Amino acid sequence: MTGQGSRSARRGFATSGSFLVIFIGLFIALGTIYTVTANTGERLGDAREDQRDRHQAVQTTAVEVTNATWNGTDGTLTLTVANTGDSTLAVSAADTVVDGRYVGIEDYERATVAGVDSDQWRPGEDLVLEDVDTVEALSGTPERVRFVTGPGVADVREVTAA
Amino acid sequence: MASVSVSHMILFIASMVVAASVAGVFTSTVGEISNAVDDQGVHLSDDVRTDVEIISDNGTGACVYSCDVAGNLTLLVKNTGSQQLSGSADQIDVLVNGQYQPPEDVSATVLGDADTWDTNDVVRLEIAEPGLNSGDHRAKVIVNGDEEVFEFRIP
Repeated sequence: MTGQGSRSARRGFATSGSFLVIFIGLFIALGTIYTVTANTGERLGDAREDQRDRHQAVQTTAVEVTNATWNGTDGTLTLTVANTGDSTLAVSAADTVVDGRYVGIEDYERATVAGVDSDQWRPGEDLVLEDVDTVEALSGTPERVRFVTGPGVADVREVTAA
Repeated sequence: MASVSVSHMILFIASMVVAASVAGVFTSTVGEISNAVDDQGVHLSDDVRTDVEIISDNGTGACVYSCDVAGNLTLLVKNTGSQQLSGSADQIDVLVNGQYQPPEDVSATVLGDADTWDTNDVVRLEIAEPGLNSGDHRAKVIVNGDEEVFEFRIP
């Protein structure tokens, strides 16, 4: 009777021992799956939120080049761009394309927002850009200017002679 | 009696070995799947964060083809996303009129002071495509799965 009891106890120990090993394995595997899924979900969630923010920025951004004047005698190009949208833009994030050639915002000798040297370009304010040498060296007399904001919203205007 | 204990011991060890192998195979397989999911998550979030815009001017009077070098198509591509991109030509796919342009025919230059193609930076692509006839043409730029089409006319 005692022999039979100890035998069944040993058999029971083998079974529960095996279950314990498999359970630990499952526990580790599930832990890994949970960590990876949570990390990936968070990363994707952040990326999607970022994308939504960008789309919203595009929707609320609008600019209009109200004036593009070329002064042939001293070779100066003056642009006036109005922020007609609802969002505050960064002047440093903008770019211009003059006759198909790239002219970065840092190439302009003067860049003022509402008369002040600032990077924050709020709705309703005018940005005035003035270039002295870059455009003249590029193409002589410019014909058209494309102004591109940070979110990619752009406006084009024909250049008029002063 | 002793032989019974020995056989039980053997069965016990065997069952433990089988259980350990099952658990080992299971954890290593799940580990590999987790690595793959992690990699794919990184790729997917990179794709979602990537956004580019062709800012070239396709209007009359603006130069797109044969501007500085004859037979070269010039495209200005701005990074409008939130992901730093590779500004090298082999990471940017270009198609002109449906024809794939191999990286050796495309040269990419990050404009301005930047060395890397960060957000708001512009890359100038010079695509050697001699012999484009006058008429309507179409160029496509693909970066990290984000596609942009630029249509232009050569007078």
